[in-house]
Amino acid sequence: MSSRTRAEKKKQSLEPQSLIPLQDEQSSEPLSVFTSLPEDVIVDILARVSTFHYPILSLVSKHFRSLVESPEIYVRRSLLGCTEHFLYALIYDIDIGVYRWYVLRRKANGNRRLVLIPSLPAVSRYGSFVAVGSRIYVFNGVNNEDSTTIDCRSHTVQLLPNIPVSMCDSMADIIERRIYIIGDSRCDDGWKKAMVVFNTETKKWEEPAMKKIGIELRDSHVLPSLCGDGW
Amino acid sequence: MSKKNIVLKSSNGIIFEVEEAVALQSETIPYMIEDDCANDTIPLANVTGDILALVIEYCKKHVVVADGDGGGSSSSSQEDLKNWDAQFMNDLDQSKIFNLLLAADFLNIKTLFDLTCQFVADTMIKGKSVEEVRRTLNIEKDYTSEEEAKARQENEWAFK
Repeated sequence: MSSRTRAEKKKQSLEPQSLIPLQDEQSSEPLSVFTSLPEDVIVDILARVSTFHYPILSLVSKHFRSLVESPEIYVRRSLLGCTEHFLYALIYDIDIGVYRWYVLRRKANGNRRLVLIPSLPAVSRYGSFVAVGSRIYVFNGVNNEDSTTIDCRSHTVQLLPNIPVSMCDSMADIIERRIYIIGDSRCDDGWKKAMVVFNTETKKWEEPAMKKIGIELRDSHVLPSLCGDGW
Repeated sequence: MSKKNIVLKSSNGIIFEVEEAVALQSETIPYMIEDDCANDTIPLANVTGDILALVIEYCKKHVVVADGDGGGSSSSSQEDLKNWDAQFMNDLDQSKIFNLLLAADFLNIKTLFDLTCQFVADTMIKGKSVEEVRRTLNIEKDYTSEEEAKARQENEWAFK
């Protein structure tokens, strides 16, 4: 619905639509007509509000909740150029021995503080991260712990297929929709560099192209050059 | 050179004659002109006279500025226009704002639609509490107390 351009929509809807009642002159109570607005108009309005306000809007009514959680509102925000950047931090809680996710939140008075996001699960250890659009990919290479993707719009987590090579001290970055992860992998005679590739479109692990063309990963210079602009 | 005028008729029968350049800020009206080429009057069956008067006031203001510097507006005129837009919206009550929004949507006047949506977002939603948004927009609470408590708990981080 919202992905249609307004001009296309208008061509299809020149027929008169039902009128919204004007304020009754006799009544002192204004007739609110907000909920009578077409859904795509309401989406257009809500898309102009910061996503930091969406948790509050989701409590206004079930209808509002469904709208601020819908993909349409993010399509609209993108078309309007209303995308926002948020800082997420994984902070170690020494009391319980796990890492928890926090987001930097700006208060109405302009102050900023990191607040815990309780809906995101605690992490016992972590490998590497990549932010792609509204998602954060978290790769836990050690002991085949779950790799996950966090949807920052809903603060929910989806599991990814297991990383094909167990590795530690890994770093990751994205090039043309593929995430390249390089780290240390244990082998028979100690440790060696390993690289795996995750395709963010097919959501599958792929054979690294470098392996095919016979480039050998060396210890010293590969990590900084690949991850220079990353996290 | 004589300027062509277009006659618009509101849902309650009020006639407005406007210059073509004013009316053509609507992307819908050209289609209506094509459809009703035999008739000089364009009926707008879902825009009342008072709202159409506001739409025309907005379009007249914006067409004048667009012509002002031979096509390009100076930054000061852009600033004046912004102030005019703000005053224009501030003078309207809520019912008129929503009906203006619908008219801008129907007539497909993008700048007026954007202005009105932004005004609603800025003045009726941004920075308001759950209860204030409900009250301002007259939205009924449809959560049960348990559902609201659960939803509030899920979004607890946002209220700190």
